[in-house]
Amino acid sequence: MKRQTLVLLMFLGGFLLVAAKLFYWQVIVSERLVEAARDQYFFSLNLPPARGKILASDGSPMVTNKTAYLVYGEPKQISDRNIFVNKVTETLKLSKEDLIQKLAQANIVWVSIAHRVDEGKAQELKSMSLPGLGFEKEAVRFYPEGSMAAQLMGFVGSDTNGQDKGYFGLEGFYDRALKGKPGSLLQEKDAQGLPLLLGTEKRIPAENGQDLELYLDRSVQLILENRLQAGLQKYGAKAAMVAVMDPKTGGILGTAALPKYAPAEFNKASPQSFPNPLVANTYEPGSTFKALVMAAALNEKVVKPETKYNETGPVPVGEYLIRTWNSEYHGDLTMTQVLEKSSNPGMVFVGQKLGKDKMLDYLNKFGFGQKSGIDLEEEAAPGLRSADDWKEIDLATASFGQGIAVTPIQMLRAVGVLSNQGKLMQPLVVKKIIDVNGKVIENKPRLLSEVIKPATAQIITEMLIAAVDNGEAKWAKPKGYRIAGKTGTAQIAVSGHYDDKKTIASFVGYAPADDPKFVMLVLLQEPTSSPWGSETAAPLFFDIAKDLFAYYSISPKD
Amino acid sequence: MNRTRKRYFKTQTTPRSRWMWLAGSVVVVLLLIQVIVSNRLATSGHDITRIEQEIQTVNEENQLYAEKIASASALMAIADKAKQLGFVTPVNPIFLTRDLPVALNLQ
Repeated sequence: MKRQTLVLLMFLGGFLLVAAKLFYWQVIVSERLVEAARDQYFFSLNLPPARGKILASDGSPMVTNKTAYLVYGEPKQISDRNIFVNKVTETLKLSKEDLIQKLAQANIVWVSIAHRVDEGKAQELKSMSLPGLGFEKEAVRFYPEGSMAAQLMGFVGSDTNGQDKGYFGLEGFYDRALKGKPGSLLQEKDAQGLPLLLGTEKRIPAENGQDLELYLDRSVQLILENRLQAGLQKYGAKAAMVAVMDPKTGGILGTAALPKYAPAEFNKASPQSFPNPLVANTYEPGSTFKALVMAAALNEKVVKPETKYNETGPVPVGEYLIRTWNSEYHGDLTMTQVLEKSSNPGMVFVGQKLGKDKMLDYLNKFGFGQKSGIDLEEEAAPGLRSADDWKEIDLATASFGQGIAVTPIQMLRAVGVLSNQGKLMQPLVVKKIIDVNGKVIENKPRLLSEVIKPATAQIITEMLIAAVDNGEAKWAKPKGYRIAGKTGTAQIAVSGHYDDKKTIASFVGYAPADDPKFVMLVLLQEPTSSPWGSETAAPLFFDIAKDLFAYYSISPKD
Repeated sequence: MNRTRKRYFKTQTTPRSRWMWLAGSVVVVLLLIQVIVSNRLATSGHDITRIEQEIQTVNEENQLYAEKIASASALMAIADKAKQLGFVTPVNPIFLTRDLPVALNLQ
């Protein structure tokens, strides 16, 4: 009996041991084992989305994607380190010392050698069949038009987590729409690593980024880029900018700025060149502002085109004297002639007639002191001082565009009001957003307000045509076209006073004046050939306008 | 013996038990079909991998062609090519209007 009991106890003990071991594997450490098994029989992969493209108005890609490679090295697999380093650094133009240092790090399995290596160089390296050299595909931005409209496009860099992120311009503003959403794939595989059709598969497809179609016209952009480059050299300017807008829709047809950078090589460029001067830079508009002040005064009926001002000499305002730009005084001037002669005392007269409150009211209505709402990152909005802070001299100087800071896009949009029957439009760069399924979201033109009456817009247009036909820049104007515009030469404020040599020369205008196809602003910073807008920015404007007339098949009237 | 069995089945089986035999046979057949199909599909991983690789290769080629088309149709590239072919920018375009002048200055 005792022996039978002993055997029974032994069997029971053995059974309990097995049960305990099973409990340990199946309950206590089961999660760890399931994880380990999952790694063996499940294959998981992140599916990166393709970043959306940026297309011109004709559907041509301005920014798209192309395949590039991450080239990496596996130090333990390299058979001959000298040959490896020599061949790789020669092909990729890298520093030998840096690569040797990277490969010499202890206990590393792999090391990144170069990112975003193009297909050609990658194939060259692959053909060398170097042991220890590996390649991983990655997407990189591709710019078929090179550095065209660089500041408008922006560029794609990395964020703090190493993920792609857009900076500046459209890449920055529309980063979320462009980047898309990553997907994932979890797939059961067999012992050979091949997928099992009847196994578990969980696939969340990647959602590619949305494409952007712009108002930008490639041909207009090319005209602007070529002419601006020529103008910068001809007039010896430090920087230059031009922007063209469709006054009826607010669509930006083209914009160029110099100096610029190549978005594909943004890491080699100066960060100062990244912000788009169209929206980020501020300047004092000078005499171009006279068109707006005059329009406001006409709208309020405090002056008419034939109202006379007697320009006899400098006008005292407080302790200051306001002179003409050339110290010449012409006696009786109509308001039209005030614009033709770009008379500062004449504009002080207009400003005083308008009054401080109305002046501020119209500055706000024209969109100054606030962001334009254009769909670009880095837009600045220099504020307007409150009415209480305005002194008599401020009203006087503002009437001829000094003592007030604006951005080029604010100026362009405001003059667009004069060309669009008094209506203020929101400037827009993107016309359509298109998702992968073909669904289109239209960025329709937005009418914000009516700033001046259509009749006033017609009157000011005629006055600006006269300013072009009879003003200082009349020699450069293309014959047979009615172009409304105004020159500007603004002094640059430096440390609380105005520099007596450096200027910002500008010209703003629209044409054909009877039915404007475009409104354009040209800015030259510190031109050295001549400080005057009539001798630099105006002829550049007219050169571009001639090209645009030919492109749009607009024939002269005469 | 077979006749005995047949007689046994005829006398001992009821309609209900015949339905059960039938259902059971269907289940067995379906199980067999599942085993056969699973067996055939279990080795389809090779085909799936091959097809996926072909899709990837085709997509990569498409991507490459799209890049080439974009580069070739870039305005800068076209402008350079036009220059090489001898095209020049017209300096003074001639406009034809309804009222024709007596003489045209083509310079």
